[in-house]
Amino acid sequence: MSHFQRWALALTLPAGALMLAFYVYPILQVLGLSFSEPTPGLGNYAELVTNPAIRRVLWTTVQVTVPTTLITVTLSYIVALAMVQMAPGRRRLAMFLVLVPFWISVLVRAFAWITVLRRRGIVNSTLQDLGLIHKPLALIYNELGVVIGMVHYMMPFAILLLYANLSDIDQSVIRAARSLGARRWMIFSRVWLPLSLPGLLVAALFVVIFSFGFLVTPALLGAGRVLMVAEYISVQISNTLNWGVATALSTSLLVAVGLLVWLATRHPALRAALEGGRK
Amino acid sequence: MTFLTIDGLEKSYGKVRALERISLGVAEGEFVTLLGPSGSGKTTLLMSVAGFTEPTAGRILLGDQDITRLDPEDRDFGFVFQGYALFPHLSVADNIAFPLRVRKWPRARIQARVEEMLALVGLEAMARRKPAQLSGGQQQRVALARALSFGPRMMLLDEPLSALDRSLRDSMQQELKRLHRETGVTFLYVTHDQEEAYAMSDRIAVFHRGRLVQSGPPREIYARPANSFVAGFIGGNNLFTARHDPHSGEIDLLGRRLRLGHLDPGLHCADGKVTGWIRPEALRPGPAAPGELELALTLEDISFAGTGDRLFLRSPDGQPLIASQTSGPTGPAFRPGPITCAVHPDDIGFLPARQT
Repeated sequence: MSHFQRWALALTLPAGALMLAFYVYPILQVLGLSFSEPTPGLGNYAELVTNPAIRRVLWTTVQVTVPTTLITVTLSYIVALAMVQMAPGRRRLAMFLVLVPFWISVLVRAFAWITVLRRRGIVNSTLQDLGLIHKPLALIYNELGVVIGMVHYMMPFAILLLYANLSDIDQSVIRAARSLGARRWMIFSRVWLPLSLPGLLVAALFVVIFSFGFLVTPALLGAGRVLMVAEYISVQISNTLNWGVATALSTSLLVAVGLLVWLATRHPALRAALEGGRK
Repeated sequence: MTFLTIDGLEKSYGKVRALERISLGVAEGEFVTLLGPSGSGKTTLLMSVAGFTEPTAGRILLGDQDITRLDPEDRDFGFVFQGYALFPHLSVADNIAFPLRVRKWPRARIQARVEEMLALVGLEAMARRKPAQLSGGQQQRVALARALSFGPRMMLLDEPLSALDRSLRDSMQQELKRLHRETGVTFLYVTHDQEEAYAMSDRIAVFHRGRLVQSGPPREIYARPANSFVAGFIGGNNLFTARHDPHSGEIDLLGRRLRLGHLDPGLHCADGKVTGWIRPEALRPGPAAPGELELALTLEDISFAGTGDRLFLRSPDGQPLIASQTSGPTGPAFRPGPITCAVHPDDIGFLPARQT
């Protein structure tokens, strides 16, 4: 190791120490608490399986995560595919519009959705004024509202991931397909889709992992009626002070996410897409 | 009978004119090469024929069908791309079968055709491989087989050999010629490499700054370049300026005052200046034989060029010239300094003055 390399390594020490003190140590503490609070043993993990309230929360999480992931990835794929084929000027504008939501706090966005979707919100009043519906639709404070809010939050991330993946696809391959006689649908189903499958899976994985940890959006748009894992953990810690179950649930969540990522890296194309670079 | 007709084709990108009123006819079964440096418009023309670039004005006819606005997928042209553009997720066989599946050929016919194409390009053993497992030359053969498999009305090739190394390029040239001969398909080929153009083409169209400056058989282009650009671009020609006296018919040429019989008296040279050229291989060190012209030059440098030596010379009036010489294993016996060279008057060409 050269002198410079030693110094460079030394410069990363503060960051490493911070990680150990404020990330690794708390996680180990969480792990410890899950086995020791209130009594030592596997009691908390047993409760995860037996407690019907926790089972309901997990089921709600799945019920929200699956449609959120499918809708987010589908819509984002459409946007990203359009962006890849745009002229440079338009693409810049589209990229700007995709990035705008990043500048608005997740809290503001959730409240904005409430004003749009509530009983007397823009959507319901417009539909009623047009005579299309007689009673306001229940668009919020249920799973539908949570899914809408989460899709909106996740889309910019998924679009950026998919855009990076799709722009790695050689445009001359698409031209080749056209020169060989393939029309739009053929080119999509036989060239774009198979070539972007790894990127699609990575984007889906990303949305799923994020959905597990979602707190603000389900709490506001679900108004306590759509209780997902993250909110349940937060309630256990700050309201009912049931630390044992909360930390056991957190640990299980961490393991589940780790398992998903590990599975994804088993596949070479997925690993390449995860690492985000051209090979 | 003209098969492909390019009629007054123009393409502008804003104020930049990429193609200026190009008209060119290609006969059925002909091998025509569009030759020119990068940015000369040759690729733009090929892309217009393929349908990937929409021309600003003019027409493209195939037989008597106007295809100017036809989508690329409806043209039935086989296109070979510079980077091969194979489908990375499909095997060699599936790549070749792609245009056949698009055309909904029956399964058995597809299989027979794929085998036939694999045999044509000598890749029978590679059918199951993915493109990434092949060498550059093999990938190029797959691209050719894929473009030929569906029986295209014409083949369009965009610098297909530029990514290959030199020795492979030579053998691929032979292979392309063979494929052209065996399939009888019309080839429109783009390259910036004049040797490639000479080796394969029935006819060469030379492009410069968006214009078609000369078209003709390779030997004609080589022997009678139409202007100084073609003369300079083809064959590393020596271009020089001479002064011509229209009254006496005499010419000041590289330090000598001569009468040159074959200098066209009809040439326009109001200012008395003409541009001439001598091929490097026509300029020979040594005393002149009967009928030859002797030039007193200065040898400035010698460089070894594999097939021979290149002598860097200068004329008494200060113009640089290059002579190429085949040499034995001991190298040339020349030293920098004054040197006598000989050239046959027939090997000195002059360009029409108004185009120089």
